[in-house]
Amino acid sequence: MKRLRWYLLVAAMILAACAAGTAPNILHVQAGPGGLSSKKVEINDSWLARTLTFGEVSIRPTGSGSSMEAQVIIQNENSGDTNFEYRFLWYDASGFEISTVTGWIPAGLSGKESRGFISAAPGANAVSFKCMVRKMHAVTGS
Amino acid sequence: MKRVTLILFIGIMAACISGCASTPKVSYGDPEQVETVTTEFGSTDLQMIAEKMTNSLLATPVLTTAKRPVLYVYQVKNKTDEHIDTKSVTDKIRTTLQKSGKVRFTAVNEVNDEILKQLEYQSKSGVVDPKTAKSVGHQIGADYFLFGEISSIRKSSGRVQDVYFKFTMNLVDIKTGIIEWADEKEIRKQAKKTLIGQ
Repeated sequence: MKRLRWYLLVAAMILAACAAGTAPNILHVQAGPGGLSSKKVEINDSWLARTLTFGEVSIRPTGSGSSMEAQVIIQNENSGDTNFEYRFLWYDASGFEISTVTGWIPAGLSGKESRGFISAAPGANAVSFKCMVRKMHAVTGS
Repeated sequence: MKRVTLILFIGIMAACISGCASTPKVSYGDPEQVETVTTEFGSTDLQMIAEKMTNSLLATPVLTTAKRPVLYVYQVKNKTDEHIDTKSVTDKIRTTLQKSGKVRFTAVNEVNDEILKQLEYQSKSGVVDPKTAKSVGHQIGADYFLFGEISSIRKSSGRVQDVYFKFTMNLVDIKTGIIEWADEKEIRKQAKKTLIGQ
């Protein structure tokens, strides 16, 4: 009887994991005159937060210095491959979204791999951005 | 008993017919969602290419140092074995770059005939006020020429199908003929057929 309860608990946990939502984990970054000003991580998916972590953030000017590009290091903490989706959203000083490409991009990292994900600011008026990651949530044929 | 059987039969038939007549379930989806319905070129591939190319182009010193250069876009060449609406790929990249405000595009390859007709109408028809009529000889010449191509390698073995897409784009200085910028985006898609069903 005890064993049955244990099995039921495991089954419930698996089902709960499968039914989990696709709320993204978000890295909020504010750019300053010299590059990075502040950053804050918003965790909406604790399972994903244990699997993928945000690392170093770099911001550098592009071209004549009127605009910038950002790189966010994402680390796979798992020993196995991890597939996920990400996107960057850019904002101006008033908080208006100014992104030109906003679609979710599929990506994958090998076990323990970390890689830089780069996005260029869409305009000179960009002052902050969000880097969002979430579990794979593809429209499939099945 | 016979009557019960008949009623049952009619009921089953009615259920079947109503099932056939039912309308398919239609719903709106998020156009920004990742799509993996088939291995063929899809919306996510288009968005990934646009994201990579515009990020790379917006960061290149060629476009950021010059004062809003004018670009001429030539439609992307399709060298894959499937039909791809390359105009929509070109349009996606062009609109994304245009929205950045850093570059301008000439429309001569898109609607030049219409522009010429309109210029002729404004200057020769006598209908348009001469003060506001536009005359020929004022179009701005493009500084750069943007062109690209997409190719693919498709392989399948047993239940596994693998497709590799490679999108290459180049930016040429029209004055010098030098390729000032080039970048590529690689995409790999795999599909594994299930044992049961398809």
